[in-house]
Amino acid sequence: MSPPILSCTTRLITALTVLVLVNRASAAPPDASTLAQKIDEVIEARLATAKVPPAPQAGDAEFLRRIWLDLAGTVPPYARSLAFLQNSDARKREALIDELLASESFANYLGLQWGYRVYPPDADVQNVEGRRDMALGFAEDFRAGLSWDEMIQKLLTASGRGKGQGLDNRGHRFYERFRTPDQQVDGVGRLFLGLSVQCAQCHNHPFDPAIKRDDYWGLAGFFFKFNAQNLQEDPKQQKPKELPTTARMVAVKWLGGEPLELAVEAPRRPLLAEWLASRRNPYFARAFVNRVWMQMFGRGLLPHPNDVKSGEVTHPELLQLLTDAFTDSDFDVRFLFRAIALSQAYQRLGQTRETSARAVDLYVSMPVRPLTALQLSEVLQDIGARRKPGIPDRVFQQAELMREIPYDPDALSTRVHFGLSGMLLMLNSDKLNITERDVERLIQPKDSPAANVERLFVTLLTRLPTPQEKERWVEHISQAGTPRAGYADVAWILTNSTEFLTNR
Amino acid sequence: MNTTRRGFLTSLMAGPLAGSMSGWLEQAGAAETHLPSKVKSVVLLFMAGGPAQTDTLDPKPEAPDRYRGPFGAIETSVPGIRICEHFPRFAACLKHAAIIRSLHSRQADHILGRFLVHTGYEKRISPEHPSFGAIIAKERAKENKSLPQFVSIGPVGRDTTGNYRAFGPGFLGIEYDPLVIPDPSKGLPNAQALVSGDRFTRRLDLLQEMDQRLGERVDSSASRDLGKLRREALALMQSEIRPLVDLTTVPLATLEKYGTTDFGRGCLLARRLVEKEIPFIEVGLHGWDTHPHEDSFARSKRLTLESDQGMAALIDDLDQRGLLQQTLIIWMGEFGRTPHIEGFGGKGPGRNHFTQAWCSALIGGGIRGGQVVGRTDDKAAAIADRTISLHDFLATIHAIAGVDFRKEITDPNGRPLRIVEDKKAQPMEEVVL
Repeated sequence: MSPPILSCTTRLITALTVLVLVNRASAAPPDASTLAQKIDEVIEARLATAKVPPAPQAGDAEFLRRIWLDLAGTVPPYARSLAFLQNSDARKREALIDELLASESFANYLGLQWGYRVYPPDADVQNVEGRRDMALGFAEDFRAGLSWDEMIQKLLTASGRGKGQGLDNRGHRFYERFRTPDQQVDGVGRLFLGLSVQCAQCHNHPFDPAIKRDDYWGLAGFFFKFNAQNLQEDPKQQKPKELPTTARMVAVKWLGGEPLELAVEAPRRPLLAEWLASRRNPYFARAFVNRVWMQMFGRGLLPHPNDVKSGEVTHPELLQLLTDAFTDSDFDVRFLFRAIALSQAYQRLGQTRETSARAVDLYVSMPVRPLTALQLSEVLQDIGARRKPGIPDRVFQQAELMREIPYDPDALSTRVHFGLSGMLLMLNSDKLNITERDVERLIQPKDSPAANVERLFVTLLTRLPTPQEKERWVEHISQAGTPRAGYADVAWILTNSTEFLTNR
Repeated sequence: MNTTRRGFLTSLMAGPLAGSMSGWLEQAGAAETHLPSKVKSVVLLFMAGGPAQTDTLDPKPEAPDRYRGPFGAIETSVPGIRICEHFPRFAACLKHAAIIRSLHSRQADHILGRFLVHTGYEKRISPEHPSFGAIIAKERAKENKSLPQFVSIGPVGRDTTGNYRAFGPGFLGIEYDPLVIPDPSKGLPNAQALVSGDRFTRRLDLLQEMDQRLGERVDSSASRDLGKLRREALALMQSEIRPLVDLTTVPLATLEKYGTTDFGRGCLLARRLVEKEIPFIEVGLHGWDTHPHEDSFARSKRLTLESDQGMAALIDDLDQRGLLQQTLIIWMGEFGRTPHIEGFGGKGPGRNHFTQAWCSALIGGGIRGGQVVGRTDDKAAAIADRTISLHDFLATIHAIAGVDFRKEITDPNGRPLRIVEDKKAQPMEEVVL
């Protein structure tokens, strides 16, 4: 498309705008604490209107376990738990948040989640290797602190097939999963725009007036010259060989945009990537913000990550606040997580008997969330393990667990997602449970039963036992056939307890 | 006034009318979710991979070599109906069966095809459509059920990615998940406690105590759900389902009647579950994907004999126990195979995927047996008469099972979806009693 002739005034305005943008980019990074305060202002204003007082702050143990599960997908190792619980520094929570955000675990947990989003356990294509490569690639980028828009632009415009696993292969795996233009639009819509667009293949979207059939195929048009096999664009190609019968040749355009006049040789994917992963696209930042909120609170600011019925948003001003802040931060991932973790809303006491469901909706306290299959797998793998295996091994091991306990990173995590087979697995599988042999790694044989009970509680439940609990369990161990059998009983009971299986 | 049978029934399906010809039709216009039906259990024998119609239920002994294949055709107990010679036992049961030779579909990919035939919908990222098994189990679930209402046996539900939820409840939710018995010779998986009786009881008591203490402070839907799930799992461990699916004490003679294969054992399990009136049972038999390869036809023969034996034993045992009329058995795969044989002089002869004309069988209760529906041409390459779409086929199954196939169910996005997508879908009136 040839640029319009610019008038003098327009050129001046453009130059000034560029100057402002450059200045903004080199200005001081936005402050997460400030954003955290703004989050709390919005939430507390709503609570005041509803005349509902917020719950007090969560205690150290509750916070410790929650922040580890939400940022690292696992529970802290024994030594680190003890150190935190015994630390009296007033700023220890901020310090922990920063440590976790800088850690491998944070990057890997995010990477794994995105691996599962692209290659869900029930994907209809070969998945475990694909999932591994996606997870490795995303983890690498999160670790390097790339901004979200950079990551997605890179992914969408990947070209050439890498050798071996991981980062090189990520683009290839992405387009192996989404091979035809309709799959690419569906995938891109769901993953990066938070939109379920696939109904618009055949007819105008029933819920979102912004997504008409021409919008769908206009977006798909960006992929029409693309060959998913070799990741190259062919200017001579009119459309790909594989297209569904619903396909339409319409003018290429962005959602809500005007038809573009594109030169025949112009590569299209960079244009799409540049619009999609940018502030010009209102859905991009919002979708990521919603997922991060969901990771931290168990439910998104939109009712569903792929939702388009925005009428049911409980805190629209909060969604807007975070979307704008994330955009203004140039899509800084750690910044967004830090701001949310620092908020008082996030650090409130977990839900108690007295907390009504309506109050939980208002963020009075943290809802109770069952551990997801991913968290469960990570936690069980980590407990007592000397060395944490890398992503490739974990992805393969998780595949088996997830047959019985399904995993969907975008499912509402306040609900239980496994059925009877999963529960039987948890109760009776010798692979998942801590047996007498395993429990030896968790205790110190020379220590007293009281000390070991403490150790088991800190390791498995991230807290110290109450005096009554300690007494109870020490008694049990003394009555058991052997101390080891007693400890194995304790371990089984603790890891099958509702407390262990939930994140409060 | 419509005097032809087809016309009369079609007009009935359009709305309630006095004087209908069968119980379920009378209810067709009513708002009831559960329609009266004699059939209490549906058993789906799923032939994963796609059996060749020519080499199973639609033989063409007069066709040229290139089409006919190496197997002959045999007479059955119904004069005029011939099927593959490797179904000798089933051939004797034909009076109980309706063979459909004119199924037609368009999805030639295994995983997508299996999804399509189990749900009637093309596989999408969302919504995830429920399988007809989950729907039937849900609609026909017994009131005070102590047994799971949906059981999936053998590797049928486990496709190449190891996933079994593909043929499960989809958006209906995990509570309608099938109980999966991956290996019928091993019974219910993970149903044995890790420690002995007393010690396990002690563990449970202490676990209960611990949860109770927590429950005094915390009450949430998640903790309630977990507690409920645990109680159900413990109940399952002690329920009659465990001995029911435990074949270790079955006499050898019975095992041999069904065939000492996974599929044979799966069919025997199915009989036991039908005895308990479980609404939906699926048993899988894998390996039908016989592309050109040196052992394609040998494999096809083996699978046919296996399925013949298991199926016939199931039919016979149910009949002897007076249960056949309350059971619908379905034999089908995800598509058929090419009428012409490929691969001569290369990898070895075989057939590739084929969706234009393929076959299945409905056996048992709620149907008019001893007949063939539809006809293919002399090479089984095209339908010559009475095309049956997958929608018609599923409508038929639901009608027999007592489920209103035109009912709408709502997905999590609030979107109403018909149980059978096509508004024009019709149950096969020559089949439905």
